[in-house]
Amino acid sequence: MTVEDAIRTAFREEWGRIVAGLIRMTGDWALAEDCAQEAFAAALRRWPLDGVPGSPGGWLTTTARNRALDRLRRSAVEARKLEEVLAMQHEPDPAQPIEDDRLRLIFTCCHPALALEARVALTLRTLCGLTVAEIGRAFGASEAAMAKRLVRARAKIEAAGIPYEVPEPEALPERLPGVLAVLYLLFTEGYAPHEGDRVVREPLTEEAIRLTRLVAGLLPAEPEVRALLALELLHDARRPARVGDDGVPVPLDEQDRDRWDAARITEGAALVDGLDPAADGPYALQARIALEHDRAPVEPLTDRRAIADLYARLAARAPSPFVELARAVAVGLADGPDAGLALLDRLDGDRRIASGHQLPAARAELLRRAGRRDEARDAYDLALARVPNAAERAFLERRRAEL
Amino acid sequence: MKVVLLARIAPDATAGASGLALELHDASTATTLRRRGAELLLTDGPFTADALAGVEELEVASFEEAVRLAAGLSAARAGAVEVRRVGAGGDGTPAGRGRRRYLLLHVLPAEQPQEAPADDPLLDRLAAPLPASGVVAGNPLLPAAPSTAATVSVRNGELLVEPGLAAGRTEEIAGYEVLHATDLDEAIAVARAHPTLAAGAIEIRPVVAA
Repeated sequence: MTVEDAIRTAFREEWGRIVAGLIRMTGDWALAEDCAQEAFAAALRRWPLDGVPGSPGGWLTTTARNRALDRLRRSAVEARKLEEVLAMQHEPDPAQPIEDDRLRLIFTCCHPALALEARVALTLRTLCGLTVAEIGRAFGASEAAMAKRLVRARAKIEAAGIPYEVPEPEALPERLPGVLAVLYLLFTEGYAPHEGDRVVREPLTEEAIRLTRLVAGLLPAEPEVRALLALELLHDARRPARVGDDGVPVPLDEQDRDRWDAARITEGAALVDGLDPAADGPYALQARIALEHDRAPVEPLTDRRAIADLYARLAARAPSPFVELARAVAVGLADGPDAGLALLDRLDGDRRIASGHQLPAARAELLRRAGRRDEARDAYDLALARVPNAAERAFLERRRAEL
Repeated sequence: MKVVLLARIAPDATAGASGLALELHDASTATTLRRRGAELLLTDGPFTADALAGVEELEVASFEEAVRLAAGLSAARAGAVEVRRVGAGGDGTPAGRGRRRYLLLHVLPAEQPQEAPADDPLLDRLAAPLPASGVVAGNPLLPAAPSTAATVSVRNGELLVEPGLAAGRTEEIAGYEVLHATDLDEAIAVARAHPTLAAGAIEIRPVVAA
């Protein structure tokens, strides 16, 4: 492993832990991030000369801690903060996983009293160590706007007294969905960006999987966390085949399944197998759907009946027009396009979905399969007029041209 | 006569402090609670755009005196000061001291101008003994009407007094409480149990440390 690799690995594995530890000790978010950043800068300077230390995490923790001490001494703030920082140690594998600082940090970053965009930005900054500019790029915001959002969120945490702690077990059912929503949004923004020209933003999907894995490890008793991890893995497994050389998305039925990531499918399938079907939540149902697709050796062998049934369960469990839309397409594939189109008709006039491209795109797909070419063309035109993502637009244009 | 002054400053106003006894942190630190069916909804930010900047309770000889005092505040120049008469049953007894103070604002949809009905059930609920946990003070406000409320502002040195709530205001503050709590979660736990949520919303505002 080169020194650069070692630093990259240490950054991935240690950033969140170091920042979370410093926040717990000092209560100062900006200080924590600055000192973590300085520790990694020091590693970039020292490691190529001195070699990679035996415990990179320990080296970084000590360096970051010393930076924090220097600053606190210089500014002569409360002695208590100082003492707590002095006691800070590198804890590579805490015996009490619930005490992990990163878990505390993620529940604070994802507190429901913060706006969802602020939660996502804070999580990426403090837990993943993405720069403000990177987060801005990922969400189509300027660096200045993103910086403002982060400053405002930290000011609210401070002034409003958002606690830095893992909720009590009885509050977990209420608080965990907010955390999972942030992780899932991270993943979907990376996997299918709402706007912009790229189909996949790999860093975001990677960060989402890594964070979900972390939370799943820290909260092993929560099936929905494992289900979300499975869902992410089973979707991400298709990433190598999801985009053609021309940058245009390849639909599921045309993807080269040999390029799917078998290891991810195996891991995701094992996670799904460990779930109790009687207790399936929304993420578990979506993971089961993804697994049905992933385990078909060729597309025609997909168990479409099973998928349509899973969507029916999902629609009952977590009703939303987007779930109904996906269910309609699934029914269209299982029972014939007309059955699906009838379900889509029921969504007409739903304000939550009326202005997007998804409904006309789904209708176009089913009309195409039904051989109703003129109507399909009209539906593609409507979808094209609304689609915000350039790659998706290219795909819809191709489909329309094939009619 | 007991009145409460509520200072409102537009979000883009540069004037910071309201000059009132209970100084609130910036409106961006607010959290609003609503209830939809059995579900509790938390949102980031205040209930309305021109959020409260400060609150003060006063004992005055007449409503006119309260208007005069309101006109002297910097908030009257930067925004407006709502003067409201207090209903019966206010004031709690000092309770255990947490590390932080929060203002819980009980917000209801504004009624059409009318005299205060003596048997308003919401008023009853707000006038009921304040919940024990950490609430150290509070006042139910009389429903806003020309005789119980005024909106005071000063523009170019000229005093403007609008009887009742400011025109176009669609919500009304029905009362408030000051709460001592260790953190926002504790404040939310107190607020979520309140009957106000059956009819309106509760805005939780951190109070600037004295």
